[in-house]
Amino acid sequence: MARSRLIPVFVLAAAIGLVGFVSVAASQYNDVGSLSSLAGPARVTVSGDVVDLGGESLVMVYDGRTFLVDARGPYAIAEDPETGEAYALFLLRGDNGFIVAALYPAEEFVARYGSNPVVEAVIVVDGMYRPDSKVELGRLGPGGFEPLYEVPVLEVTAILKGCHSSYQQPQANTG
Amino acid sequence: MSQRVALALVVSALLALDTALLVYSVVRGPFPVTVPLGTPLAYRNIYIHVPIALSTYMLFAGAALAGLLSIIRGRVYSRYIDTFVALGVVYAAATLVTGSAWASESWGVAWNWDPKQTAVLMLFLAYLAYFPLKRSIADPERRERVAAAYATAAFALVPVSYLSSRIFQSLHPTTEAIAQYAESGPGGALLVARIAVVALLTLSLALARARGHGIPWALPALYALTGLAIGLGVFAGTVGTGADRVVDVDVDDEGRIRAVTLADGRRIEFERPLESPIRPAVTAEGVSTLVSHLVRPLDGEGLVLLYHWSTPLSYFIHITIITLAAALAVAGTRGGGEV
Repeated sequence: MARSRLIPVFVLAAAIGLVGFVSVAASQYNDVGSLSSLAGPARVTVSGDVVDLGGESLVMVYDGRTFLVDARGPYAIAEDPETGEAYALFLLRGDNGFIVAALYPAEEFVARYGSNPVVEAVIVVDGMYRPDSKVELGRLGPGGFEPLYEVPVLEVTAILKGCHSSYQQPQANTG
Repeated sequence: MSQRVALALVVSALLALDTALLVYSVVRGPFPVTVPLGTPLAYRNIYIHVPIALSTYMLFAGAALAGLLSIIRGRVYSRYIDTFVALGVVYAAATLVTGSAWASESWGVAWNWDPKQTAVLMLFLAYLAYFPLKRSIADPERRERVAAAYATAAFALVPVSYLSSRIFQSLHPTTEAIAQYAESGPGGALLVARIAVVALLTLSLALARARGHGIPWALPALYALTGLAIGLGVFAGTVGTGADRVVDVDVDDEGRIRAVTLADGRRIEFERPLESPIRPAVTAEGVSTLVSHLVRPLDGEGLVLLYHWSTPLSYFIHITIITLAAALAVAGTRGGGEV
């Protein structure tokens, strides 16, 4: 008797659970690699592996201008020496190897995250993807500009950082 | 001693303990020494948000258990189901609000349809639908049976919510990450104590309501007034904005602060180096632990550490939902026993 009453409950639970699971799955972040199929500009929220840029000085060509790039490991600060315009630059790699240059206004970046931020291995960014706009990143060698990357641009409006690494930190307290 | 008196004593003790631990958490709770984004001090929200979130799961589990027993025994525990669902919905709303407020600082945005946020929102909406669904059925016997079945079935969203940050890519930490934090320092014992007290208090109040024992009205009134007064005292004048964020610190060899640069470009130099308000003063790499914190300079002679707004908000939300749960328990006296 109880079993006959329980069966519809379990069926309903399975249906609710399935709807919930599918809805939550649909809300997970797209990988940067998914941008490779986009032909035109689009507002996107994507996650990607942060490419280590090392610690050397690089050069970035973007929007017809040349920026001096101070690489700081997971990110870099790229500054146009003529206008003073500066961006925080991340190279984000997708699961399929597709890379984009995520550009975020440097002033806003420092104001929000400080001058020496902790950056996780994977970050999520929100912004406008512009496949027709390219960034060239490379070194200035004896023979001139040596390109390392030529990748499309993602103009970032917000960096959404996970907080996973926080929980592995030692603990601090107020005085 | 009657059950009613014993219950009132237990609830009184738990309310007092909850107040003490809550205040201690926001004033002296440990936090991670550095975080990817925002002020590390915002991580004191962990002692408020996590206990509320876990109590939400507990309340919906209580509703599902009562629903399941109703179906198996053929006797409806309507008062239990209603109480657990009503409190669960309130706690779920509080979980969403406290979590989003904290996310605005620690993730960079309050709401972005993160899988965890989506899952908790679905859980909230599913149980919110319980009451209109129940009211829509005219036949009393059928109404109770359908309500019990729905309260049981909706529990399927609890594991989806719990596992969402593990199965899907999410900015929200997994339970294991939080457990790792709990094991790694003095904040762990405080977190476990907060989870236990909030869960026990919530369960006591829910059972007092469901069983119709009730508690004296003075308890929620005293709890609310005490929590409000202490909260205003702790947080008045100590909430910062983005402009107050420390982006750079000049420290001497002993970690004392010679100058700080704030997000709005202000650079404040101190004639005599200051002891850092954070312990330890520097990280293992020698970087000042004051970076990313919100501060207010005091005429070049000192600094006041400021809270992100999410912490006072979470504090007052916690006071509100516990007061509400206690007020429901007071009202439970009039209900008079099981339905």
